[in-house]
Amino acid sequence: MILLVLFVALGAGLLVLMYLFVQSPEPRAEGGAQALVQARNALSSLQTGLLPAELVERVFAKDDLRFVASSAGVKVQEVFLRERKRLALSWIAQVRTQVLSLKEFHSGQSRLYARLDVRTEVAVALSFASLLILCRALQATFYVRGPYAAPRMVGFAIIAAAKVCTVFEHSLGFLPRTSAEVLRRDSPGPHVAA
Amino acid sequence: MLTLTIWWATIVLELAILLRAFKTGAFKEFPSFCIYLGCVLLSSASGYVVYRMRPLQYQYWYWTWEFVCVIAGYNVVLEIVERGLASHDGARKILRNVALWGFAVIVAFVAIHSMLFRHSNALISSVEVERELRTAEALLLAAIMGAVVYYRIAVGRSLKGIVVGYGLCVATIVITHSMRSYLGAGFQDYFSAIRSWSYLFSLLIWTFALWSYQPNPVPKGLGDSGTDYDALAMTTREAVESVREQLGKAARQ
Repeated sequence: MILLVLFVALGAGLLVLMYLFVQSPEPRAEGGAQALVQARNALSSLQTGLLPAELVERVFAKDDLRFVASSAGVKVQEVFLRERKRLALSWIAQVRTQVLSLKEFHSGQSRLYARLDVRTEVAVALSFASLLILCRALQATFYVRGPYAAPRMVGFAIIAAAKVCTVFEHSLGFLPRTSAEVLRRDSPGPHVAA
Repeated sequence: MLTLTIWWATIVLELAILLRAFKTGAFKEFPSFCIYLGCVLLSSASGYVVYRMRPLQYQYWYWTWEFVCVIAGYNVVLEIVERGLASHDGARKILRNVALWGFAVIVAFVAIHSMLFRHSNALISSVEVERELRTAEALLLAAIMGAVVYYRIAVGRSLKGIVVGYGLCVATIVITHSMRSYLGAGFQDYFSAIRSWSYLFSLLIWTFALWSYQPNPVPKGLGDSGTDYDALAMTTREAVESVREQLGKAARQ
């Protein structure tokens, strides 16, 4: 019976993969400036739009909740909590989207290299997968327990933003000169993307 | 009557695909696939004659040809790797090595299995051997499609059709063989019907995909440098790890 389940699951899994294979979107131009610009924008969006201390602190701080609780009725508090929860969910959804964009940047660049290392690629794929799962878990936490389920998000988010900024600046540095020039020309830059 | 109609329909479609492949030049691009289809055509046509003239011999005839077709099918998988990832050397080398190791394991498995089960029921052991062989093919096809989806590699309509049609065949065989092994001879009629219909569907996909040959798009490469790849991989991993670590800590608060 176990063998039957395993083989049926394998066959069904292959059919699902075939569906994804047929539905897979048209790829970007390989190594094109567009990919670099998108990666830079995704990074800028994370650094300056989604993870800055002021924004995250404001979204998840309890000061506003305390103020509403002390000066407004139950209905107003309910509306406030509902709106703040929606904001928290929207924030984590956008973080997830930008992480997906960085993943696409990596896979779009690495597929062109002949010296592709299977262990490295599997490790990177697993890292992205676990990060995306973590984003989903945070979404679920906010959804079930509300927007104040992770109050110390602020400090950690600041450190994460700083690290991401440093390492991806390096990664953009070694890319071909022509692409980098186009990138500088086309990219709106972090201050504009924010 | 319906079974015989499907039988004839598959023979006609196989002939049509092969003729179109010769005419459009797809034969030069996918020789292993055309050889595979030729094997299946010979199997179907000669099987029909044997079924009519010597019904008792048909079972042995069928399984002999089935193993020839499995080996030819394995070459189709190798061809998919070579053609589908022709412009992506790194991924192609990895999958080619996986496929060759897989082939070695298959040959070893069949040899050991045939020695161990020489005296058991021939039909049951044949079903099981083919199921194992097709399972290896299914895993390889899954790896190929996974690589194409993950790296968003552009694949032409012709090759896409070959992959989907062959994948459908393999998935159906893996599922129906495992059910045949588990449920026994009572499942035989369903087994034959499902296989016939799914193969007919695969042939229709191949007919559509190969009616006019469409080559794979050729990407513009960046050139290659091991140092660049190492740097790319390292920086990506560091970035992902740092974000995950921070979000993980936050989630635990």
